Amino acid sequence: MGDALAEVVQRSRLQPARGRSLAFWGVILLAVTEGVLFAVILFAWFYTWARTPQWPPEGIALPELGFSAVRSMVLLSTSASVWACERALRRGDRRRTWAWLLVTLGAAAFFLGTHVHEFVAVTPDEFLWSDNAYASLWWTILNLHGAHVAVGMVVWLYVLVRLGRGAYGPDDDVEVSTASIYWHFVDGVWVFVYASLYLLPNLLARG
Amino acid sequence: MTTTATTTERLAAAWGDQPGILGFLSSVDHKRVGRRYLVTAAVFLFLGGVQALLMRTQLIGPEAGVLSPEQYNELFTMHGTTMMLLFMVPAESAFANYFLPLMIGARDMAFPRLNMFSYWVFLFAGLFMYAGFVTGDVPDGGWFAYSPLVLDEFSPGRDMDFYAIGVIFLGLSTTAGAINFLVTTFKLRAPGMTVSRIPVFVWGIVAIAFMILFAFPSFTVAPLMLELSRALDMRFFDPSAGGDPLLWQHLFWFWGHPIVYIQLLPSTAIVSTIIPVFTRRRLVGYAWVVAAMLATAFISFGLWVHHMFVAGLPQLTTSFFSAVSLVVVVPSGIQFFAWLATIWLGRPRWDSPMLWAMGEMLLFLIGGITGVMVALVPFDSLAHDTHFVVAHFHYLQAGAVVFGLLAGLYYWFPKLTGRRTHRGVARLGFWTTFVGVNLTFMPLHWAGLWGMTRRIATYEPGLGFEVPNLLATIGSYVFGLGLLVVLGDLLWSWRNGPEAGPNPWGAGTLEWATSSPPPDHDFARLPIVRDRYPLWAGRTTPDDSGALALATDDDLALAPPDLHHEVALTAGPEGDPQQVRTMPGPSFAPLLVALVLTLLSIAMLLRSANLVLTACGLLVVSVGAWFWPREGS
Repeated sequence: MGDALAEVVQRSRLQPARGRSLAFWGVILLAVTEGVLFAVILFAWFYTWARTPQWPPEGIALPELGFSAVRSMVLLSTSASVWACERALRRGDRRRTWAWLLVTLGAAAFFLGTHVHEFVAVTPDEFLWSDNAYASLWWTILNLHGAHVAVGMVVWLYVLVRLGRGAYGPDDDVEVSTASIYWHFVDGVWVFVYASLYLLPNLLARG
Repeated sequence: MTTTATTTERLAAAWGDQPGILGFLSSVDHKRVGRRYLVTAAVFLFLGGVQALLMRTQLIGPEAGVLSPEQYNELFTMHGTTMMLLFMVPAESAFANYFLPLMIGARDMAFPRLNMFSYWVFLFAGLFMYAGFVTGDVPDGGWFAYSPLVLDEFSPGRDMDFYAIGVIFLGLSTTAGAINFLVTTFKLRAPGMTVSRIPVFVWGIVAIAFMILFAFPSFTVAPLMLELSRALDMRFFDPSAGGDPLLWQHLFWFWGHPIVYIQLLPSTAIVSTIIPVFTRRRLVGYAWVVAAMLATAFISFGLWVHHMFVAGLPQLTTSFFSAVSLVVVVPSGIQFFAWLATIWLGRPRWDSPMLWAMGEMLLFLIGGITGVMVALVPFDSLAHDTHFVVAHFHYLQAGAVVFGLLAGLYYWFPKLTGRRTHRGVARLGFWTTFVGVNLTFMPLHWAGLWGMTRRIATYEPGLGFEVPNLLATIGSYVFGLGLLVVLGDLLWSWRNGPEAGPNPWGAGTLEWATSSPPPDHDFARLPIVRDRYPLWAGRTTPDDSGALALATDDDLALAPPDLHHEVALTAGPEGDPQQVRTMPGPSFAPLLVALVLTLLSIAMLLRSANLVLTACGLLVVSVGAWFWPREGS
């Protein structure tokens, strides 16, 4: 095995690294623990729901499923644009890398902007976070997810600036692929958040 | 060591820190991280210990009047929080940071900067929680912080905000550390270190790192909800608004029970490391011990409701959790029998690490037996919130965990300092501590069974509590004295002890294959592992003299000697070499980001939206500076 190690050392100096990066494993474990974080707060949502006779409580309308579905589709579509961005980078197509990165950032900005708009302008007419446990959980969960989207956007902006300064290439994509794993995680969590906060209450109320 | 001087010099230049204060602040060396964790955790142990002694002094006799009830509440809150979060977990991080890379033959952790970041965050979070002593807002709602006691109505002022924000902040450090330990173990093992050759201590750290990833999110969400309730009037725990105070208890104990095993497992893993060295034979049932630790990690997530047996939950629920609480005894028993068999089949030598390890076993046994008792719902209904429970978990935490950690400290002290401790003083320290811990906590079993409740600043005369309490208070002074003897021994030996040499105990794992203390680059040549105990390779039992030579050069085969700031990554369960990677060097970014996070915590404490937004902006800039590649690298 000593020879094998010596060979690896030689090859590593000449060629791009093989295998998963350390960052890959780091971000996977980050996604695991963050996934548990969302599982815990969704547990709190269902726990409180199970102890409340009416959900949402008296005086609060069921969450609307029209515009929220559009927002969800826009967010989830960024998983595809991120994938396309990575693929373009690996093929050395910088123009498409740029294009898909900008598409991703634009879609994320739309999702986050509409979230902030609802938080500060629309829903306060209907309910405030301090009204009851439902409202507290509603806004805590949505803002927690929104914060993750914001962090993801900052990461993509970092990638954008680095790309603009000539960084990355087919053999130098660790930062981009690590960022995209985090981004897929943020998208994936939204599926569970949307199902728990929007879909299930509607389904059970009409069921 | 046959490498040429020039190679060693080049390695030292590549891995060393710059001298002076700048080097101190920018270092990312895992050994420095480990040493800092160790010293800081020891300071917090001292603070938590002084708090305990003050409480014991108050309880020396009925209505003693040493402390006011308010002070007593503050002390038991800070004592619990300090010992659980600022002493035990960081003390284990200390050993893991220092020794995990050495034991797997790596030159550093997977994420060196993140590693130093974990330390800075731990330090600042600890200082943040203690800042309440300066501002006069010491947390006083218990380390368990039950609602509604800790909500604004009953805890006005900022006291519980220090607690809630502090533990969220600290959780970041613990989680980052866990990810680092796991990736290091996955990817940086020396070539040839298959899963069945991973040292048992490393397995213990892997087990608790997984537990941290699954348990700590709950202790981020719950204090976040508490802080939002206090600062923004949210209603999660308010029954009049559809909330439920029991939700806090579920979330808290979903973290709060695994944390006990997060503290205990490294301590038992240290015992599993020490016993083979001092009985001169391999650990019996290695695979069983590893499986037992992983099983404990898994089962510990099904125990949390046994802290809530008197909270009024359905009988089916309590029965289930009672049964699981009994099941967790099985893996602990497996470890016990493996230890006993190893001692039985070996030739034990009673050096000081072995004494502490034996102490750990005995105290773990006693605490484990009372643990079986309180796992039974009918018994727990009587013992709940009495000093019986105090006695039970202190046998585990102040007993087994502390003794395991001290066993590790005595075992690795020669590696940390290059010196050996004084045999006679070490014995005196052990026996004083051992008598002290038993004299403190054994009588409290009776006080508890006779009905003495916890968390109350005094007791009435004539109820039969006087004698056990007097004994416990005397015992606590003896306990403290014993720890001071230990401290004195270690401090004196650090400067004056005899030279230890690379492997004074004749141990078999890789941390003993390098000099004591190790050089900045840990290993001049990367070891290649062909055995679970690489330094015992080819021998079923090492020779008696203890003068085990380092394995020959053939055993520790060479890597090319000019690996600069580089580590080898390995892949898969077989530990096949895969690639060579240049690691990040010293940086001020971890310190900077930790300082910005401290600012964010203070901003949250002050409830200033502008300051919070400013801190978030600074956070983005400082994290960006962390990742931005430097010129020429």
